[in-house]
Amino acid sequence: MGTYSTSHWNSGNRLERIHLMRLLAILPVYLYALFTTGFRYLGARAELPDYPAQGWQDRLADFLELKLGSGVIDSVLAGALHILPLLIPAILVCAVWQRLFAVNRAQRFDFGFVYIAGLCVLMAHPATSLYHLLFALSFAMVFGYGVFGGEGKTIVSPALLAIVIMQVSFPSALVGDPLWPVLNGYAGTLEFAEYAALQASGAETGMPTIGHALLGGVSGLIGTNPLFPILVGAVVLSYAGLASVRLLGGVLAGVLVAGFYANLSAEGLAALPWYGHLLTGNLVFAAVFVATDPASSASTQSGRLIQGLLIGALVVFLRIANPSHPDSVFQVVLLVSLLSPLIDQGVTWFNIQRRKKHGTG
Amino acid sequence: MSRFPQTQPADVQHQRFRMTNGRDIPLGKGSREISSRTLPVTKVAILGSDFPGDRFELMVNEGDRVAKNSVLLQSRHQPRIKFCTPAGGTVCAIRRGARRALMSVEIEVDQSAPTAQFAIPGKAGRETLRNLMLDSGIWASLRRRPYGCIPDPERDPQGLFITAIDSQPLAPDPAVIIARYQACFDKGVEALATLVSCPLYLCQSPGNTVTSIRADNLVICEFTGPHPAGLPGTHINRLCAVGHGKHEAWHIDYQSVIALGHLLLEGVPWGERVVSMAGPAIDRAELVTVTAGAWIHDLVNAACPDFRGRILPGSALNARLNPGGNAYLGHWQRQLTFLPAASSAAERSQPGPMLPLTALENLLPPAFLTVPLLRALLTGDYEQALALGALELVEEDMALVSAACSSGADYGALLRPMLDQHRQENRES
Repeated sequence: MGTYSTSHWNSGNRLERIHLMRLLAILPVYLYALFTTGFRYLGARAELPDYPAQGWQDRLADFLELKLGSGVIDSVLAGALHILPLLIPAILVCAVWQRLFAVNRAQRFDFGFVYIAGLCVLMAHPATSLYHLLFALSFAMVFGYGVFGGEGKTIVSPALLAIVIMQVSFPSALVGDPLWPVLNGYAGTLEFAEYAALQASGAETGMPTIGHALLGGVSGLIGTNPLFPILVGAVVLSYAGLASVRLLGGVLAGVLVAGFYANLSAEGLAALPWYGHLLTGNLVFAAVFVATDPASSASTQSGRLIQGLLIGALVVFLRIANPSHPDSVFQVVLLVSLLSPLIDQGVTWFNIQRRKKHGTG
Repeated sequence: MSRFPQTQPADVQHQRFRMTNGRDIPLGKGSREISSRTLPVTKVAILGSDFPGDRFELMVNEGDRVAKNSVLLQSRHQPRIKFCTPAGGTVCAIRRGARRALMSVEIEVDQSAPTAQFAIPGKAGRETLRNLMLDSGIWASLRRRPYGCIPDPERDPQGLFITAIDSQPLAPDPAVIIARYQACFDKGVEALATLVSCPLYLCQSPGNTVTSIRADNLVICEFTGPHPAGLPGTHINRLCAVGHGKHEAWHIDYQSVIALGHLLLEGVPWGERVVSMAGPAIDRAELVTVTAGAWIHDLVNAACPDFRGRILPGSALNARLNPGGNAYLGHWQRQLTFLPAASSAAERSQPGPMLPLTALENLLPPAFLTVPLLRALLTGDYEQALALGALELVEEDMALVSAACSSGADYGALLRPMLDQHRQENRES
């Protein structure tokens, strides 16, 4: 007997399998991001024929004669030139921190850090400075992960913490970069600001169609658009019991309600139809991969629904209230994950009151 | 099962419950026919761990010769509660474990040993019946919620549940066994209806009503759905509120009801149990009749001597081994599960963090907040666990959630000290 389970049935919910399922879920996002990132990069280079080759990536791309329109392989190679130099050092640095904590605390060397590094790079920008990324990831691995005891004991998703730390620490990085014009630093896309400005001046607004948002690389960060591979990841995660369908449904409902409410005024960004908030920006990615992180989201079924509703509604309202700020999705998800213990406490309190009323508690 | 009206007495209350919570474990099928062969048993035992929270007074010593159905132990808290041997012979070992808690009293079976007979009362009143059940040891087959211990014969419950359904993986089908011992089962149900004045709930699978007995307080409850639809904890959760600790519900399983009926018809309790031997590691599943508390070594030697693998007393979800290599069939165990030897590391239980996955939801009976309850158990938060309904549960209810949790923790073992503490506090007040 003893404290460990006497069950002889393997439910499959062991940590190794959980890590593997998570990596499987971000794999399609990575594969698609290789293509879209390269495609956007080559597109930007084609539009700026006078742009001097600055970094080693530009020079290597020129050396390999990668060109837009000469096949998928060129785009994928150009994407790999931007993604792999971020991903590989990120994994290595996370591994070092994980190893240090594992040795010092006599814990097993758990490979959950691969997912953290992978997720963080997907939420970063193709031209992110490697030092900025490694600084932010180190901060998150120590103060968002290791000090709490590692996997399952975090209060916010470590990858999310790294991205927010990077946005806050380096607000002016990449602003006005000629190659990536629709981005504002590490924070994400400026499309909402553009939409608001165009709407105010009465001009034609250029929001993407649903097909473009699903399959095309619209704008934004490495992995947060397009939506199709993200939805594949959502199916994998919810099949494995890692992402709560209630939470995702809550986000959808929150966006729907807040979007319709905002449409009542029809000025500036408020005129954006509700689904526009899902098609552009980081909301869908953050909801599927970050908000559903089991350790840092609400742990009751009703709590998950409330958390989703809050995320959806807050993202819409913050975007409308301040369209000049690029995208507040990560900040909202961070705030709501900090609130999730409070949400759980409320749900638990209601359950206890109901038990007292029915005489079962 | 038929969709048409079943043959049942018209004046019996009928309720149906469709449970959606839970999960069936795919391990194959058990047998639906009771095998005619008898397996020879050389040793039987009464296990102390079957009666959590009880302390015992020994009535025999090692080396004593005992008759079948004679008293081996009595409860220290309530000396009227007695434990009788299912077979006559010689007391060959009395084992004690940590803090001198009684582990087992083992008997070497001697077929020539005499049998203690009990006088059958003509018209059994409530007190006569209780005394007969106490003296013959059948009272020890009753359990109460909260706590899962033997009920006090001086008290009355708010509901008495007969569990004639078993949803554990590879469990025997109660309807088959009841049909074989129909007269005894009916007599037992009739007696239980007079034992208490509260409702008597007969919980069964959908299909023909398993008894033709009519009684004013008898309610037939059909439960469908995945495991744990067949656990008494689920039935009590739906029908009788006990979580506040003031009310109590009693429950008894169908084979003990057969034993009671046998006692009332023949003057001796039924000393055997029908046990399912099944599992993915053996070719042919069997339902065999064996002496209660039989030494599992004997059963395996007789049934499949060449078997190499894991033999679990109980189901794959909550098998409980009697430590020390002396594996006996427990008082509540109705099955032996045969699994292949543990090969990969993934099959072994490894400690890990407790991740509040959605896969944990809906494994407890409805209206439980799974993750807050599990966290209260893990951190030893007694008051929170009680407020979240821990008093409605015992170890077997937690087995499914323990198996599904990434932490590998045995929540049943964490729950038990809390139940003991609550029982202790409420006994003194």
